Amino acid sequence: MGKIIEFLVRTDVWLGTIVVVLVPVLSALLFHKLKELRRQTNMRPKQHFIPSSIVLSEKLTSNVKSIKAIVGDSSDIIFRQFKLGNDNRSCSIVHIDGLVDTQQLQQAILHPLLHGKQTKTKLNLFKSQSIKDYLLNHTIEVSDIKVTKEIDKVVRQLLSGSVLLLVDGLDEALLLSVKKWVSRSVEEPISESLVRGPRMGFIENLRDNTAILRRMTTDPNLTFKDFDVGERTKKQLTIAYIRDIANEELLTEVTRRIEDLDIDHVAESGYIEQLIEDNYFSIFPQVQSTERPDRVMAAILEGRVAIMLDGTPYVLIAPATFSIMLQSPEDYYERWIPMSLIRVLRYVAALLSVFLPSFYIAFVSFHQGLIPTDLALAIAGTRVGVPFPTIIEALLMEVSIELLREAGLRLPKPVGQTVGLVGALIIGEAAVQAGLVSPIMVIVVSATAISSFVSPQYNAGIALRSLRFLSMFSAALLGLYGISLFFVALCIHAVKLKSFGLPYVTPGTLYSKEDWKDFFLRLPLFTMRKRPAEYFPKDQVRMRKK
Amino acid sequence: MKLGTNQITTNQMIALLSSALIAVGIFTLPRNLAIKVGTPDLWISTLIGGVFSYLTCLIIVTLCLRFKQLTFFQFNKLIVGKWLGMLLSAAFIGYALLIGSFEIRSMGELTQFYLLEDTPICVIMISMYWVAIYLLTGGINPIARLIELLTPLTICIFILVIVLGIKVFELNNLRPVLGLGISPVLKGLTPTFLTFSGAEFLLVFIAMMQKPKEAKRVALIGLAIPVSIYLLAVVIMTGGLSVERMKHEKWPTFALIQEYEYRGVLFERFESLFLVVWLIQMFLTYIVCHYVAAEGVATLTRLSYKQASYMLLAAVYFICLIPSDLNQLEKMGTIIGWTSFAFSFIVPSLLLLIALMRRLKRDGEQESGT
Repeated sequence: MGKIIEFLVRTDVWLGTIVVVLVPVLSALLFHKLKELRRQTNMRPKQHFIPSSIVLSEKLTSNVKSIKAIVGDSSDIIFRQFKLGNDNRSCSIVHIDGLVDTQQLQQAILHPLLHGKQTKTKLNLFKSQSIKDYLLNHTIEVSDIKVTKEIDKVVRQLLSGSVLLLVDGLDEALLLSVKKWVSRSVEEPISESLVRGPRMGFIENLRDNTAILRRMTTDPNLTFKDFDVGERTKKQLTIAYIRDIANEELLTEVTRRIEDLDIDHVAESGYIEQLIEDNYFSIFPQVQSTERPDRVMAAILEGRVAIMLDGTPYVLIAPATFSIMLQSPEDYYERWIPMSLIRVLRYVAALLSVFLPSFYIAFVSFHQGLIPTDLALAIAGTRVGVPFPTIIEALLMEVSIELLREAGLRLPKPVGQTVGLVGALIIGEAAVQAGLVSPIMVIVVSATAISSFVSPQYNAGIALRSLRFLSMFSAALLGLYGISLFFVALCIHAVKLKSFGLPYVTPGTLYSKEDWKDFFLRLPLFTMRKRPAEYFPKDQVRMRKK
Repeated sequence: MKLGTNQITTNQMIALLSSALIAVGIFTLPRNLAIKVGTPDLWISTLIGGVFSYLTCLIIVTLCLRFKQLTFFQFNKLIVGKWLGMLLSAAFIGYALLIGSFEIRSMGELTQFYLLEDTPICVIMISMYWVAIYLLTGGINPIARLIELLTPLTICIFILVIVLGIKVFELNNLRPVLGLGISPVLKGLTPTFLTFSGAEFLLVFIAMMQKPKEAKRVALIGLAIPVSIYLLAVVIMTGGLSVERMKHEKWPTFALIQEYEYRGVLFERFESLFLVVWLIQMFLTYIVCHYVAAEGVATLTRLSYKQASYMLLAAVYFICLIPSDLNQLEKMGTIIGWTSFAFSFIVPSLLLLIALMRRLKRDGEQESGT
């Protein structure tokens, strides 16, 4: 009895109890607050950059005036007035210099208009209906023509490169598409080059990108759905999917998230990625991004959805799982045995790049007894004279490696090499000679750095790099136990994370036979007769049995 | 979005059951068995104990399937009335907390002994509780996913480490079979049965299964995995250490691992490597217990599940500090064992009998329609 009372009055017990509850509760409250931040909707009035009060009238001069009032007097906008060849009616052409194919403009639009002859049919050119008919059906030699009254659409189309044709007596505008502007030619994607596989990457022009995808298939089910994103800049965004494969729920979810976007300008698809992802606290990318058309094609054929934005070669693919971050298209292009081994190697490399330095720290500062005695002695020998504890030593080296990498990334190629050389010399040789770090530390750090380059997805690589530092701190605090705890915490995070409703660790949980064929190993293609079950595709069969 | 499922799949259930069953037992069972049995027939006791556990599991499954989509905390009221049911639920919550704290305390003691001699045990335990609560607040699905993800890993490593013990295995240590007749084997049944505590958590989890009809299969496989693991461990330990030594070692599992040595491998001492992996397994067992307790509290009181799990954190931390040393911890283990016997055998059978007599039954589908 006395013991119980003694136990009940121990302050450390009560203190521990309070600490054990209070810290998680407080941090949960904090995170809840931070998560709420994202859900807050900014109440702001809908912006109209084009006054809706202006309407097109039948008078040419007033129409031209209102267009001028809206677009201002920018120097690149060309207004050209002329008379129709057959009845001297006033017309006006408006277009942006530089966004239009001048040759086509002259041959297919200006020439027929100026030299038009009265056709056999009896046209009453004083009726607006027949002048429209005359222009559309008999004169203009352009295939993509839109006729509209909405001033908003007219101006947006004009500014995106269409030629605007205004005719006296017609209260509608004709939008003729003869767009042409400078764009980069199709090149090999730099961030995802392969030994074997198409040498083709996406470019900045959305239309060209959809055409690249279209070129890969004649499947009528390949669907592109357009959205305008950016309240002010109205960039074109297209989602691509195969209609009879992609899961409906996934499609509605992607559409909903894109329609919910409310931002003035999206500079790159990274904006979209961050605004539609599930958890902005997570260190893992929850949407895959790629500039390889073959990767996108393979993904949409698995039932995923690609999100393409005008102005960037990076296409997003949703949903994404962790295993995808360690897959490369090449896995499927080469034979299965070597590629399975390489894939296993990638998993090992991912583990190493997160845990190798922390294991070194744990072994050297906590558990010298666990490693073979000779090795322990060797390490201790090299550490003689090193003035810092292991964690400082490791941080020193890791930070300098990260510095080198960052510096080399931005510099022009020849200079970048110099940085690499200097860095290697200084870090490898001088630091050891000066007794700042032990040689074994150098080996550990370089092995880690090399393993972190193995990840085929750049953004997955950065995630692992950042995790390494957390892992090092937990090793410095609690040794192997700390690493174990960190590993569990990481697993918990991954397990709680979802990408568009799909658990992030998917083939690792929700086991399915089909998914495991393409997880650690890449089994022969003929075994993967069905599409991965994880995306719940509508059409499951990929290959029919003979 | 329902791309992923919201209930536990059959595979997750199997992983959940087996990880509820295997944890600290792997360190305590061999010694307790050796003391009770005294002959090399330990493995027969383990086998019989496993079969017996399966029978109790069948009782639990039959009971749960009568009350579709209801957990133990909800259906016991229907059978024995409100107050008795409350009492049973409260006892079950207390029992779950007891196991949970026992696991964490044992984990803390082992970690301190083998890995972190200078770190105070409260630091070790508190850090683990923090990691645990991060998972627990996510509800049953992340828990099931984590267990499904990590259990195969820990089991593989365990089998690897134990099988390496083949090096010191001697068949003679296992002989004679039934040399002193059947009575020592029967004596060994108690510790075996106590080790298989955890099956009673099925009382709660069957209600969350996607396909409750497969519950019997789950019970079979989910028990077969831990039983075969214990069997393997007991056989190799008896062969490697002999029964006499097993009686005297504090932790025979570690003694076995220390017995063999493989030179030239990166690790020389496997017992710490093994512990590092096994503490994940103990963590998982603790998670299951805490979840069950929190779910119970949430059913009985007005607290939400999340609030309940935060509050129980204080309770488990408090309980796990009560045993002052390893001997008391062992006593706690014995208490747990007997309570487990009550909850996995006596309570379900009585409830089932009453339910059968009163013809109580509840169809989940009808209820979900309303």
